[in-house]
Amino acid sequence: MELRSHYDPDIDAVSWFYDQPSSGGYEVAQNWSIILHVPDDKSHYAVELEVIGISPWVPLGKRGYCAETDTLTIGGGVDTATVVAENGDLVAYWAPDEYDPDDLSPIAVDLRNASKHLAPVMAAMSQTLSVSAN
Amino acid sequence: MTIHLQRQAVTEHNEITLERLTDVLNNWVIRGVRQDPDGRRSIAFLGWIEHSGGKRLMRVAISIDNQRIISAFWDRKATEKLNSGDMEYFQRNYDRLEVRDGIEKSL
Repeated sequence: MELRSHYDPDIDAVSWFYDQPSSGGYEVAQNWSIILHVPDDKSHYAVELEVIGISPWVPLGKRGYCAETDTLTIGGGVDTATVVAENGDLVAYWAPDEYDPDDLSPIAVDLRNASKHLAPVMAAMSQTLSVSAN
Repeated sequence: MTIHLQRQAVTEHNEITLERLTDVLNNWVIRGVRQDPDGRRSIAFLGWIEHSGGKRLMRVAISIDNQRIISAFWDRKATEKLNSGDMEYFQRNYDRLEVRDGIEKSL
């Protein structure tokens, strides 16, 4: 199963997705521009990660990147996670809600093999920049 | 007003269609402004849409200048919160919150 990506230059948005249907999504860390999609009511693993406004994370190293593990962490507070759900190169971290401790919400997502998964995005970004410059 | 639709917003494999997007924008039950930690804002519209034999809230985000549909997804948290009557969730997370009369539960 391969993690694929799609970059939309008009809104600087990227989605990484597996060929698994999503039944809905959650904001990551209560951030409207980062959406984690899950396959069904009971699952916590991500089948898709959407980031609207990817520029703050690229090039790798600007934010949330661990070069040793080649992992980009979007969101934070992974030490407080009570549920960690892995699906290939997407790892979702969930923690109890501040206002409703019985309820879980995603607080962060790891993108493993980040340099590989960001390469097509960065190529698309530079293509857009060169078209704009011309 | 012309709103440009981003490719990002329509994802057929997630059953997000143009027809459903339009339905949410016309028949929203909750609307408000969201801001992310980088200061970017969007206007969020939430509306009930038939899905898999029930109703779910779809959220459509529009750019703050009303020019682009930025994203759309089935908002699971909002669906759970509205079904349980937890309006404080929306008051905490949405600026300039508007709620339309006649909100119906999906269950």
